[in-house]
Amino acid sequence: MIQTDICIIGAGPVGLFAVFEAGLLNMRCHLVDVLPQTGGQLSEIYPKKPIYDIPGYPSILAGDLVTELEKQIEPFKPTYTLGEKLMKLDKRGDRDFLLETDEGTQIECKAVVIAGGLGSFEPRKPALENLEKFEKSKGVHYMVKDPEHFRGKKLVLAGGGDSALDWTMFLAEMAAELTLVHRREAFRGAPDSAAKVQELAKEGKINLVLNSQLKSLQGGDQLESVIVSSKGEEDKEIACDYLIPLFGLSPKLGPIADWGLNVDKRAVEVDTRDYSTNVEGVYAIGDINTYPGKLKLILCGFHEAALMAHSAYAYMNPDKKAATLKYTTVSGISGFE
Amino acid sequence: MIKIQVEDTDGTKREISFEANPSSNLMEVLTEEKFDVPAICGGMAGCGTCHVAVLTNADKLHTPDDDEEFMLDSLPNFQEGSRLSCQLPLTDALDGMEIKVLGDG
Repeated sequence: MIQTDICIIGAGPVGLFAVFEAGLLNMRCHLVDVLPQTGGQLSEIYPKKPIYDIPGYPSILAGDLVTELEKQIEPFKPTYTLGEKLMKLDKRGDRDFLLETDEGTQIECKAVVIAGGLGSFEPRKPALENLEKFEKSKGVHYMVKDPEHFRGKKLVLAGGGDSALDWTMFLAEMAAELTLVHRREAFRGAPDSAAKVQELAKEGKINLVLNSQLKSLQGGDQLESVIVSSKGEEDKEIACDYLIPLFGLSPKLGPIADWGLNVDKRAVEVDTRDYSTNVEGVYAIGDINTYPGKLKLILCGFHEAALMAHSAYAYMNPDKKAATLKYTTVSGISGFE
Repeated sequence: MIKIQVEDTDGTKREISFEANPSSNLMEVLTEEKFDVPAICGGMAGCGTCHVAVLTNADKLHTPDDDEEFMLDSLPNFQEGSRLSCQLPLTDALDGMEIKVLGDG
């Protein structure tokens, strides 16, 4: 069981900066993110794009901003649970929350900050009628958590980006058979990887089915085959034990919608005095929240983090007087041991 | 004034109109008009959540650049006429077009 003062859901720029603001008021933070790395969409979607509206930086690459934020919060020794999705938020009493991830990691904390951007990044799913029937270990996997699971099996992978190419190369040796289905003639992933995949196909180690799309799934209790439609050809049936569609990630609000918070469309309603939600002790900052006049800007999220921290301090310390605002220029930073 | 027909993800159809403005794009109009277009990356062809199918006049549009092609490739609900609306500037080429919002797949 992880114990902390504040559990921050979402390790994007705003979640990271919240550690700093909380740290100034002597509150420790634990961050949870569904992605295996910090930075949220900055790392996942546009690490190499410049951002021009971070005060003090005429231009900074998104990936560099994440690195700098990590450096900035380091004195406050944040801890992380990455690659896991927060599923349950249970308020057991005042200043007493129990959170649990999809992997069963439990976090006990006194306040919760949702800094989840537009939600958790989840795999994009192909539009196939009976897809759900074969999810949850019935044959369809959206990511490769344990490659050994696929040793000696017949696999169909679908997609044309880097992850489809990378996993094709990795699994080619282990699988009994591997077919890669891609909608186009050419791959858009890294040219090196695309060349290697073409090579594997030439050597007969994998089957490439190009200009083709997944059409339907067949099987009883377990997946038995996929039907693939190709331009100008008859549909093909490919026997397989597993289908691994790799179409990238897309943010979904996900479990946040089930935590009793007031949600408007895809955002959590907050009070702009302190970015608190309707559940006392739960805050929402950054792109995930909404209020009149909301602008989805990183710099607005930073501001929200500062106000949140002062309110969270008051919530967590009902017997103390409100935290005094101290300037870092005056007091410096007293990090944690 | 440019007029287009838009079908939202819930099947409702509406005509919208806007002025030509090459420095703005169709995604911005669709979000302002409250269609189901999350546009998470804000217009960088980076997230695929402004995906639309252009049902008519698709041939009048410029062909997708590499960034757009790359993203379209990764969308499981890709179909004929698939485009990222953030990559379509508001030019007269859009006038009279019918599009369908495909959501974020």
